[in-house]
Amino acid sequence: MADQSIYLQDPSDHEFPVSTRVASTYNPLHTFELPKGEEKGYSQQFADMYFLRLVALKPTVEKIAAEAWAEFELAGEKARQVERVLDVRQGELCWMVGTVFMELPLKPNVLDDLVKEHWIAAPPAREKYISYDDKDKAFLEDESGRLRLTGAHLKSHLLVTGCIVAVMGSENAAGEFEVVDIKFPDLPAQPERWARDLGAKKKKPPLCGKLGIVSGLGVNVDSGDTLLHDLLVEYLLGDIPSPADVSQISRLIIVGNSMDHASPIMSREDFDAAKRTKKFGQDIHDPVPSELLDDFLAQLLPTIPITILPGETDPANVTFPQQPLHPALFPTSRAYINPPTENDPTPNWLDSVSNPWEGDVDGWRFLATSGQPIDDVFRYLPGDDRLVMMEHVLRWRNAAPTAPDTLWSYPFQDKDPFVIKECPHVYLVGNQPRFETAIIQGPAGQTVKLISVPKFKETGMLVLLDMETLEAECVKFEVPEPK
Amino acid sequence: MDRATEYLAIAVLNEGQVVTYFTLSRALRIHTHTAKQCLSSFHRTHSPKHSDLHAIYLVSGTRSTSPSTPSSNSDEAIPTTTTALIPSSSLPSTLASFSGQPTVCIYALSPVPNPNPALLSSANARARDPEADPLAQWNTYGTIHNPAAKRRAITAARSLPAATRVAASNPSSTPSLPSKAPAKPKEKPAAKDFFAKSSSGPAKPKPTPTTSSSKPGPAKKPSALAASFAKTPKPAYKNPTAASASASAPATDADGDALMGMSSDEHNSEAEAEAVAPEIVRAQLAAREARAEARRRMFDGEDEEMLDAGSGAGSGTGTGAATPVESPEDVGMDESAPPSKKPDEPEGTECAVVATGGRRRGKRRVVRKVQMEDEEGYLVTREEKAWESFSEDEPVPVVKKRPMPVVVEKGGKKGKKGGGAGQGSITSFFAKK
Repeated sequence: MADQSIYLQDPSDHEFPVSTRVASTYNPLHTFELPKGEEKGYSQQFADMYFLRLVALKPTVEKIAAEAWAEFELAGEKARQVERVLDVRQGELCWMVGTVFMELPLKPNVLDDLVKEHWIAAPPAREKYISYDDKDKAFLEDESGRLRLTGAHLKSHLLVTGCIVAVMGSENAAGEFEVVDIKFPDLPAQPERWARDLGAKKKKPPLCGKLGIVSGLGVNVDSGDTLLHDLLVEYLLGDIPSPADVSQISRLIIVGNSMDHASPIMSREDFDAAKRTKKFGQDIHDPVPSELLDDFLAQLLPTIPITILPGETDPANVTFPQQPLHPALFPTSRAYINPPTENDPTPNWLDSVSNPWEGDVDGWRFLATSGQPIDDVFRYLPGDDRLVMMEHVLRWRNAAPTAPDTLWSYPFQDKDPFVIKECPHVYLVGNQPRFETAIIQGPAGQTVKLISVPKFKETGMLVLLDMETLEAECVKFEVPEPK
Repeated sequence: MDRATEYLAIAVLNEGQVVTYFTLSRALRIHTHTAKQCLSSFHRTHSPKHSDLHAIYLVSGTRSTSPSTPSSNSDEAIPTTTTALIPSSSLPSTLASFSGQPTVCIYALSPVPNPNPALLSSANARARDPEADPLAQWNTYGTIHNPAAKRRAITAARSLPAATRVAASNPSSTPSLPSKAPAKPKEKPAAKDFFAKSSSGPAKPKPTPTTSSSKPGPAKKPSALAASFAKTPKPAYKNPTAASASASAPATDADGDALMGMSSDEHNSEAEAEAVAPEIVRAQLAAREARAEARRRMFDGEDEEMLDAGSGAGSGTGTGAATPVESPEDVGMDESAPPSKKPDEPEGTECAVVATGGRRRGKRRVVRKVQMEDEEGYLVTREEKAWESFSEDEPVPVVKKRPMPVVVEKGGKKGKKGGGAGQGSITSFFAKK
C-alpha cells in the first residue's frame, strides 16, 4: 500500500500543483497594551485595581443575584441585600457582593522568600497554594471590611482571590459567614461574528480556512529538538505530505513560551540552579534563542501570517499584561512588521501582540493567554481540570483574577483591562499540560470554545481550528529519540 | 534525474553525509516533491548494493491505537494526524499502528541506520540560503504561495550594524566616513555577529584604505583607535571587560569566526570535501562549547586565553562577519543613505587652514555625535571625529571663537595652556565688578 505513494515513485515530468494559501481576516484589539514611556508609572497602589474591578462588576452580580434569590426563603425568612460587608447582622439571612480573598498558608510571601534564600536546600517548588486543611481561609471583602466565609456549601464552589461574587447566607455565632449560595457575574454579552470586520455593510463574509495554534515552542540551542521545529515549518510550508490540505491553514498563532529560559528575570528555581552550577554573569543574556526563533519565523512568514504572544519564558516584561515582544528581537522577520513610524492601518503580517490578547480572527472574537492566569488559578484550586478553570475565569469575567495578588501585574489606575467586557467566541490558553477542548454556554445564549494548547516542545502538537465550524483537530509530530 | 543520482552518490555514498529531501531540493533547485522521488528512486536502485545506505521515512496519517489520543470532555475523539519520522527498521511496525493508508515518503538518506536528529536538522539548516528572496522561491520549490504576504525592505536598517562593525574594525580609515556601507550587506544573523564584533574588531587592522591616505592631516591613529574601541557598541553585554578582552586579543579574528564555524560558505566548500556526518555534529558541539567557553572567559576577564579558545575550535576561514572593504561605491552609499544619523552641531574643532588666493579654506576637525541603530535595535550614540572642509564665507561655528586657528598637531595643547593662563585666581571671580 505504501508503495503507491506518489512520493515513492520515480521522478517524472509530472507537475505538482501549486497551492495558494487561504486568506485570513484579521483585526486585532489593543486592550492589554500599556501606555508607553512617561505615562507608564509604578508608583500607584494595587488597591485601585480591586476597587475598579468591584465597581465594574458589582452591578452585574447584584442584578443576577437579585433575580436568582428574589424568591428564596429559608425558614420563612427572605434574603435581604446588604450594601456593605460590615452591615451584616448576626443570624440574619442576607446577601452581598464583594471580592474574594483567599488566605492560604502556602501562598508566596516576600518574608518567607527572604528566609528561604538563606536555606541551604530550598524546599521543593510549590505546585499548589492550598494545603487541604483548616488553615485555608476564604474571605469576602469590599471597601468597608472583610468577612470570613465558611460552611459546607463553600466547598462546592471554586473560588480564587480576586473574583467578584455575590454570597448569600448568615453570620454565625463565631462571626463567620455561613454560605448558602454563591453567584458569579457569568459570561458577558457576546458580539456577533463579523461584527467588527464587516460592520454595517453586511458584505458576504469570506470563506475561511483553518487556524494553526501552537504554544511552548521552547526554541533553545541546547535542546536538540530543532528537528521537531523543522518538521513544523515544513508541514506549514506544504513541503511534507499531509492527508489534510495545509494551504487551508490561513494563520498561525503562537501562544507564548517561544523561547526557553529567556525571561529577563529568572524564575527562582532557575536562579537557584544557576547559582549552584555557574558563575555570575554567564546567563545575563543569551542571544541564540531569539536568533533561532527569528529564523523559524522568517521561514514561515513568506507563506503564512503569524500572531505571536509572549509567555512566561520569553524576553518580555514579567508583569501581566505582558507587552509585545520587541521587533528588535527579530532582525530578519521584522521585515514583515509595519515600520513603527508609519501609521499603517493594515495589521502586521507578523503581529507581535500582548499577553493576554484579544482580537478578531476570521470574524470570531478570540481571547488568548499564554497560560499564566490559568496556571496561577490552578494553584488555588484542587484538581487539575484546566477546562473547568478556564470556564470559571470566563464566568468570573476576569481574564487574570489572581492578579495582582499572586500573579504579578501592572498597577492599573483608572481601568482594569482584565475585566472581560465582551465574551469571546474562542478562549485559547497556551502551555497547558495537555490538549483539551470544550464548549460552554452562557445564560444569554453565548457559546465559547475553550481550547487548552499543550507545549509543542513536549508533545509536538499543533492544534488546527476550523474557522467555519470551530472544530478542533490536532497534528502531532514525532521524531526519533536521540540515542 | 541524473544530476540527483550523481549528487546523492557523491554526498551519501562517498562522503557519508545525511541528505534530506530539503537539502537535495535546494542544492539542485528542484521541487521538494521531486526531491523526495529522487531520494526514493536512488534508494531503490542502490540500497541492495550498498549496506551503508539507509532511508529515514516520514509517515503521516491517522494512528489507529494512539496511546496519547487527546480527549475532549465530551468524550468524542479529536481527529489527530500524526506525522512521524522513523528509521527504516521501524517502518513496518509504525505502518501497522496507522489506520487506513498513511502517506509515506523518504525524508532523508543516511549512511547510518538511525542518525541523530540533530544531524538531520543541521543538514536542513545548511541547505537554507539566507540570500534567496523568500517571496520568490515558492514556484521553484512548491511551497504554498501566499499572495497577500506583506514585507517591507529593511536593507538600510540591516546594513547599519555592519556599518558600525566596519567602522570599528577599521579604525584607521577616514574619520569623515563614520559609517560605511557594508561590504557584505547580508550577514548570517547568527551569534557569530557578536563575536565577530568583539574579537574581529581589533584584530583586523586592515591596511589603511586609500581614501584615508588621500585625506589631509594626520590620522591620529592611536587616539582614533582608542576612541573606536571605547565606543564600540556592545549592545547585549554592558561589560567593560568585553572591550578589553577584544582589545587585548589581536589576531583572533579568523579564529573568532571559526568559533562559530558554521557559515554557509564553509559548508558548501569544506564540508562536502571532508566532513563525515558525525563530525559535523561534533564540530557543532565543539563550536557550541567553545562559544560558551569564550563567553565564560570573557566574563572572568581571562583575556589572553580567548585566543586559545578560539583556535581550538577549528580552522578558520575568516569569511564570516566583518570583512571591511572600502570601495568607491561605499563612499557613495554613505552619502546617499545615512538616514538614522543625526550629526549634531560640531562640538569641538581643530583646524588646518590654508590660505589660497586671498580666501581662507581649510579643514577643521569636528567632533560629531552620531546616532545609529545597531543590529539589536539599540540606539547607540557615539562621538566621532570628522574632518569638515570650510571656507571663509561659511559661518564659523560658535565654538570656534578662539583667538586664532592653530595648526593641528599642537593646536589642542596650546589652546588648553592659553585657557589655563587666562583663568587667573579664584578671588577675581568673586571680586566686585
